Amino acid sequence: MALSSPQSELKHLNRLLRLRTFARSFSRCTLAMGLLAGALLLSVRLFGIELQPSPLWLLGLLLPIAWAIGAVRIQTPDAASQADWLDRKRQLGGLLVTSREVDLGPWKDQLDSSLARSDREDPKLGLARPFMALAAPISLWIVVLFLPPQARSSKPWESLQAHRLQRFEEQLDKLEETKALEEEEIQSLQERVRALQQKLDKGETLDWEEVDGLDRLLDQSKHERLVKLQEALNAAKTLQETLDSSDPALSDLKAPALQDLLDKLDDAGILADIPLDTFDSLSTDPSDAPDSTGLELPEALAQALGRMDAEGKSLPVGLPMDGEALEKLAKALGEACEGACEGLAAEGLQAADLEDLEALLEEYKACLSRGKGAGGRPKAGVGKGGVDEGPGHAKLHYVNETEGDRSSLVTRKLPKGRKPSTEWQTLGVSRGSPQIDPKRSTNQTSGTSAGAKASHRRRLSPHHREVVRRYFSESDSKKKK
Amino acid sequence: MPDNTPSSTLLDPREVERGQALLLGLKEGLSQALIGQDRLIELCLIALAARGHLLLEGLPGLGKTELVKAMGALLDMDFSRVQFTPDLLPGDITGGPVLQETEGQRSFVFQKGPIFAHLVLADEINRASPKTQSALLEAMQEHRVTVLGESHDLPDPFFVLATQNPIELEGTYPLPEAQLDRFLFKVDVPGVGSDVLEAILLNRRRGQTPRMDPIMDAQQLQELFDLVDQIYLPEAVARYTARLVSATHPGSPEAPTELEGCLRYGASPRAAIALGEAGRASALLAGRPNVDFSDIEQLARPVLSHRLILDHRARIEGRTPAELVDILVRELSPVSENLSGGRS
Repeated sequence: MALSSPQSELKHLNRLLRLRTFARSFSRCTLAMGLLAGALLLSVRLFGIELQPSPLWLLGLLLPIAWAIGAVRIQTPDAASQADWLDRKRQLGGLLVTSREVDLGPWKDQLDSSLARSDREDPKLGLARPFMALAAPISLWIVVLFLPPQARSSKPWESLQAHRLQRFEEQLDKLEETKALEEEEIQSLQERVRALQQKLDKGETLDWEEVDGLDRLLDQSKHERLVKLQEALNAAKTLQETLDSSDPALSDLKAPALQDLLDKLDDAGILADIPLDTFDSLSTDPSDAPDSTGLELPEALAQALGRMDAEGKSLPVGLPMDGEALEKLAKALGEACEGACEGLAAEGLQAADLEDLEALLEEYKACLSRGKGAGGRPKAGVGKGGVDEGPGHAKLHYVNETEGDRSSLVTRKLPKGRKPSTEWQTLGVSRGSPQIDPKRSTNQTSGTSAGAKASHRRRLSPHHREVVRRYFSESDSKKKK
Repeated sequence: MPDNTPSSTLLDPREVERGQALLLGLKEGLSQALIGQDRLIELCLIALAARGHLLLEGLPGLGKTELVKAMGALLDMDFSRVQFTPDLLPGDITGGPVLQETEGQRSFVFQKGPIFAHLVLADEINRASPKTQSALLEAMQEHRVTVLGESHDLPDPFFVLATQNPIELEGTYPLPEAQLDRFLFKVDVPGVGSDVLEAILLNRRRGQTPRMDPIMDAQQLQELFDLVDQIYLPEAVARYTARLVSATHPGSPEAPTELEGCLRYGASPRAAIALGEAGRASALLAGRPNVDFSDIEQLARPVLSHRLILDHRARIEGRTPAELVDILVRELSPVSENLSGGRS
């Protein structure tokens, strides 16, 4: 029961209406904003961007509050409408609306008594629906915020970069096993690879230049290694020529040539790989050397051979007195160098380097064959009655690798019922035709490289390569039998 | 003219009581003449207090004529009855020049017709020809009659209380819209229930109404009119009234969608004025110094229904103007129940 004046009744009604308008506007705006922000947050999370909830997000409620305040100012019925409503609801006979325009005078008491008689009937606030409407965005936010943190999804190119780094690391491991490169070089490259992998794991963006730079570094290392091996091979060839020469003037050059060869092998880092018994023929007397100064053994070799003085310096040694022993030593050192060269070539070299190495090996082998004397059977090559395996065993070199650009690769569905061939294997991906490494075929059977190169340039499908490889393998096994 | 400015003051409660007492006295007298038709009587009194003309429509025998006759008896004013028939001429109502010889001089003297009375009962008005019906136009609006270029003022106050029969339409002439608009109310006289019939049987002998003595003279009636004029019409109620009348016009933004295509022509400003005046009279009858929304709502139907011209859709759907007015009142509630909306 209301016992208050019309003004207080109107104020009460006004408060209720403002509260209702505020609640409705706030809930509507919060509903819209909540759903929108929830959907946005969900989308962001689906795309892998992790957003941790922060108390600052509550500042987002300022917008609905501001919206609701504005709505209260705009949408709340004006005082005249409120008076109309109250007049009708309380059945005041129009006295309340009249009181806003004229002085009621003696009718005021009647208005007050009418107000007192009538039951207060407030407008329906309907706060349940606004607050129920808030349940939807709150539910969405709870779901979104309690979702497990989305694992960082890598970008498509990141997986390619990781794959590339992994392959490079495997390549380095293989190089480490075959000792085609010096250990320090391999370690340096491995550290670079690990550094890039760590950056990738942290989610940092890797530039393709950094990944591709590894290949360049590896090629550079191979090239440097090749240069050293070539120098060693040249030294071996020079020594062989010195040994083969009948010119007495050259006999004095045997010791410097052997010294040079040892130094070059030491530089190339393959001296430690040569069996120690190879050096058994070296004389312990330095005076055996023509210039009586003896050979300066590299420190590591001297240490291995036990030719160290008390101060830890290597003791000079002399040449073998036996010429045949010297020739065997030279040949062994040369073959070690040749083996290292072939091992390096097997791990892949640039085409130009490969050609240079091939030519050098040819020359060295020619030098060795000449050393065997005129009784040596001339090697028959392609076009000279010899047999060349062709590109069957040649190693394929893939250039311009396109790890990062697979757009040109199209996945095709196999015909129904046809299974993919198990013989197929991915050797590499390239934009152009693979270059064929003729190294394997330039062995004893090839005399010159011209014809062989010509045949190697022919394109062979993998199937044909396999046929050629099988043919020669079978013939080899039959020959062995 | 009433002054509705904020400085105005309301009628004194005693004056309101006096005006209400006058009306209630009339109501009591009419209730004796017409049993069980309180609402009809109230509307008659409101029309009288608002100085409006009244059109009663109902079946024969419901007491329309008796009501008007009783009103004439109670008011102690000149009362005339005109039975409208197809052969009735305008001159039969208004009167006309009559050649009169006085002292050897012949001259035309205007002989007043039955319309020269305070209270004119136009019984079965729709049976007269349009020519005759139109004779009432000037009288009802201007309160004067012009014959042969000479105008004659009608007595003040002047009321026309007309009746018409909704059946037996053969040989009748429906009132034109212009004339309908001049009637403040068109009231459908409803039938009565068995309890009312029982009361009529017990209180009537041979159908004769009890003798009625005048209870209000012309001075009192004028006093009543003055009181009605001083009833305050609040702006909110006037705004609601204007909205209500405006909404009857097709294409009006106020018109509810439910009435779309139902109305061809809406009510005139005269209807809004009539509604306001009737509201004032209604407030006085209720003993209030001001018009309330409820007055307008209750009077909207008798004031507006005969002023609306329906469109084909409403006719096909069988809707009546009264139904459409009820829809208007319902949809255009002065303030919605939920008090929605903002500043307008």
